Amino acid sequence: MIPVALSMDVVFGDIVPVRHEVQELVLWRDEEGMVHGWEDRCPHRGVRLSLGFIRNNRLACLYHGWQFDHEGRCRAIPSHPSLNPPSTIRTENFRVEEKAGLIWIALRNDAKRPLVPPAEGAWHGVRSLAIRATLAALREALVLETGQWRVSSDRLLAVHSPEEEITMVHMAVSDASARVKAAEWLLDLRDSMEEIRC
Amino acid sequence: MTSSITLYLFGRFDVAAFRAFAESRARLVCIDMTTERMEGHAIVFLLRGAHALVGMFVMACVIGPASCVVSRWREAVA
Amino acid sequence: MLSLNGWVMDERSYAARLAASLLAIPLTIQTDRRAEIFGPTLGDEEGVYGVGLYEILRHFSRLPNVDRAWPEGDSRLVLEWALEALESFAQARRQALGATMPEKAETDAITLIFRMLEDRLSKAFLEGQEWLSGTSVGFIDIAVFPIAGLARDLGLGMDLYPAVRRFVRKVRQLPGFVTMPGIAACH
Repeated sequence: MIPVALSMDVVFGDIVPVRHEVQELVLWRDEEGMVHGWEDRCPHRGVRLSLGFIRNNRLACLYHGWQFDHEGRCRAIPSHPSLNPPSTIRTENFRVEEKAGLIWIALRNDAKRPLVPPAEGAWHGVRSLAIRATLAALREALVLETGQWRVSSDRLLAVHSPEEEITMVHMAVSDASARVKAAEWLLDLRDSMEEIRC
Repeated sequence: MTSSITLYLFGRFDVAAFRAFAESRARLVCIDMTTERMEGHAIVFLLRGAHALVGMFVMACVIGPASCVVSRWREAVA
Repeated sequence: MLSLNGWVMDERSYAARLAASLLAIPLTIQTDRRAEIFGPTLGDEEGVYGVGLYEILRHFSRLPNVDRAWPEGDSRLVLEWALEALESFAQARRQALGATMPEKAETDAITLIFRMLEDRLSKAFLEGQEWLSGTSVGFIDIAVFPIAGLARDLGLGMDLYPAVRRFVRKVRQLPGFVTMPGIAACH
């Protein structure tokens, strides 16, 4: 599974775009607190759902206002208010898990790598930071040979790839009072990674 | 309310592209679509389904995929 | 009644209009295309009180019913950074919207602005500070909001800026929030 965001950055009402390799996704949290991860494309005319808004506990597309419920099923089409949309009109969904203060998503090509996110303990989100360096460079710097995350003492670090030259580093700590310091460390990491690049 | 209509489209069509587009759209909006004619300048579909959904399909066809131009179209009750 | 001479597509005019609305300052708006180049001006029948966003916001801060402090010290530096960033952003956006062919609108300078904004917002959040201006939304937040709200016009990947997204959502929820073309009304 790919770590794509901190839980604290996806609260109810948030609509979060995510890019990972060639995939474009959207995350949103419903009123019941469940996070959903879909392809960032409305089945109607292909407009990004991440440009949309939350209405009636559903994600609505900005273009024509088609509303999709937690299962990704279209439940309302404003131009046809009395129409019960057929179940064929639905989003492309992915399995999402919320663990260790992060949101993880299982993409199609994930099948060969059933990586499990860390389950133990309580983790407090610090920051998701975009670092202008390749994933390979970050793997070296973080001593992260395989997989998308590692834990070292009280820090959880996880990565995903919005662009070839940009890596998102997600950080969480087990001790909430250490968040500010951990954020400073992350900035130091960015400075050193981006200096190397220059 | 179920509609049964014949949709006539005239213009310049990339037949393979339009066929793929129409089949995909018919599946999406859950209507029955039968192709009566599929040529580079004329396409005819027989459509059957909920009125609003048939209307959506017609609208989508009239706008059409990028490689096609619909210069004229009409509907007739089947 | 105070009158703002501005232009609906101008980001600086928008910031002034947003400030007035959030701070409950009655304002009439006059369209003046010169604002696109020179920024908005503020005045009434008796005279002109501000030319450009800095002076307009400062005038607002001195009005009797406005309880937002004018930033001093380090905060003033942040405000100055914010206003400069807004100017750079406005120029880049004008170029992007006026281009006849698609071009890369996100320059290094723009990337740095967003990076700095994300850093500042992220730090404030971790330190329990609600707004860049302090405990209430203030002039610094207002000055940067158009940058955050219109980022899409420069084709920026907003997946890289979670703190900026959070900021935009918070501002949208404030009573008196107003939009401009490019900032969706329904959210």
